[in-house]
Amino acid sequence: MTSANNNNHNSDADETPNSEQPIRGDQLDQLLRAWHDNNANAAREMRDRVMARVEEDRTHAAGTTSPSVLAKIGFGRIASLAAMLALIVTLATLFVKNTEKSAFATGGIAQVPEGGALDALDDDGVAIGPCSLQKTDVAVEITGPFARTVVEQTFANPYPRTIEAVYTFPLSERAAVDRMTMIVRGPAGERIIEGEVKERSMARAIYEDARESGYVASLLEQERPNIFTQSVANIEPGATVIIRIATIETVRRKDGVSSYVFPMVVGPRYVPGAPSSMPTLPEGWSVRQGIV
Amino acid sequence: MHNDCSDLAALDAGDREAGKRLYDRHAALIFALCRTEIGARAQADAEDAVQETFLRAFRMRDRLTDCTGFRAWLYAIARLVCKERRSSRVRERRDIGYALDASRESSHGVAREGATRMPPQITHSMLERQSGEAPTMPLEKQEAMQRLGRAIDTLPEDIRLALHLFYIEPDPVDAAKRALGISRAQFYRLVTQARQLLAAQLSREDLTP
Repeated sequence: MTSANNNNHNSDADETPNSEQPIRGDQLDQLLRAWHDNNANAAREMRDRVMARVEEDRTHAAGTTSPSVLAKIGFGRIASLAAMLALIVTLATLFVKNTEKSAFATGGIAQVPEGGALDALDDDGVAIGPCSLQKTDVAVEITGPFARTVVEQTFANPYPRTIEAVYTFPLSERAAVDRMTMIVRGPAGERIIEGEVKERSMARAIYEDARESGYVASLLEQERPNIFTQSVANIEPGATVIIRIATIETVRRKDGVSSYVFPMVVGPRYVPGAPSSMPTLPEGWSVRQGIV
Repeated sequence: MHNDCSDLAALDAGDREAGKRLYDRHAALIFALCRTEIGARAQADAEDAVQETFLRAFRMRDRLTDCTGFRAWLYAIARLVCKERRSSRVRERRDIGYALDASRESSHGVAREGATRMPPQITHSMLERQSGEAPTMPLEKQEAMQRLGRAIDTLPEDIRLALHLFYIEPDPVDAAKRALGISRAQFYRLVTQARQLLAAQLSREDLTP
């Protein structure tokens, strides 16, 4: 590595510079090397994950119509943009006009909607299958430039034991969660937990302690700007879990038109790690995929 | 001896190792370019940007007619990806700020605890555990790195790229010639400017390396 330019700084500066003294050239050089080494190491560590995602993308592309073929017959980018625009307009129209949609599971069918799922874990934290969704309510109130959304989903524990469960649901990238309530209705009665906003690691530690102590506890974590997960511990057999989450966001405004979109799909994203096995459902239950 | 051209040809022929070699050759610079010290998700954001850059590059592989220009082409994609992500992040922070302000006004505080309040001993034991944890990197060094990262964020794009090339590439002059189309003298002028700008900022920020 060439380093022809790191010799024109204060070589006679004190060994421990303070706020009044400029940083020395060799100190800056050392820090810059460390910063770049850290980033290079981070990039190296994620190589396999990225390349696996690239390979997956290539495999997927090979199994679909080649974009270059579409381009040759006059579609390509314009057709893609038009299709995307049509899809966005359709979804936005549906969601804005129908803010009181409900969905119910039919008996013996465990619904696993893309819009939110409660996955049961055993004592070792291994996924044992989904909990059945019984109902979804979404209420949206738009006041001026702000939209308040309240999502309530009801799940049941169909397993013959006490479980911990992880709730995954999508939120708008523009939304901030400001309230979370969990209601567990079991044989012992109804328990209500209201969320408290905490720094992430502190919240995780409180949750772990509460769970080990046998308390019903839940933990809401923002995984990505648009994906949240919530862990719920100590759910008795046959208990019903109602999760209510309130968010607030600014409505999107462009060219004089305001729009609000309620996300119902957890966007696909490559997640490193071994593929999970198929969930095992209680006897008589089956998994159904579908938008609720 | 592998280079971009041989690896691209091998990749087209289905050699996955060639893809890894291309990644190893260029990912560090893209990671540095896309890394910003905004928010707690700096690392995850940079990782997403690297992934997005390579995905786009391999998807649009057909559009690259001259394999010797792969480096410059990849950097152009990376700069576009980084720019998109920065714009998106600025919008996101602004909107969340507005939303939180509105939330505070409407609910007079959002942190409330309900019927099953956590016992105080749980919070206390957690705090003790927190205080006993040893960070992976000394705190002073972490803070110095963050200050440096923030200072790097403020550099003009060409100066920043030159700085990264200087510290990452084994032959930075050749890399700068290909990526920026500049001579050896111009390259070192940019690197010197970068270091002077950083030195001025870091001394103002009371850096303790």
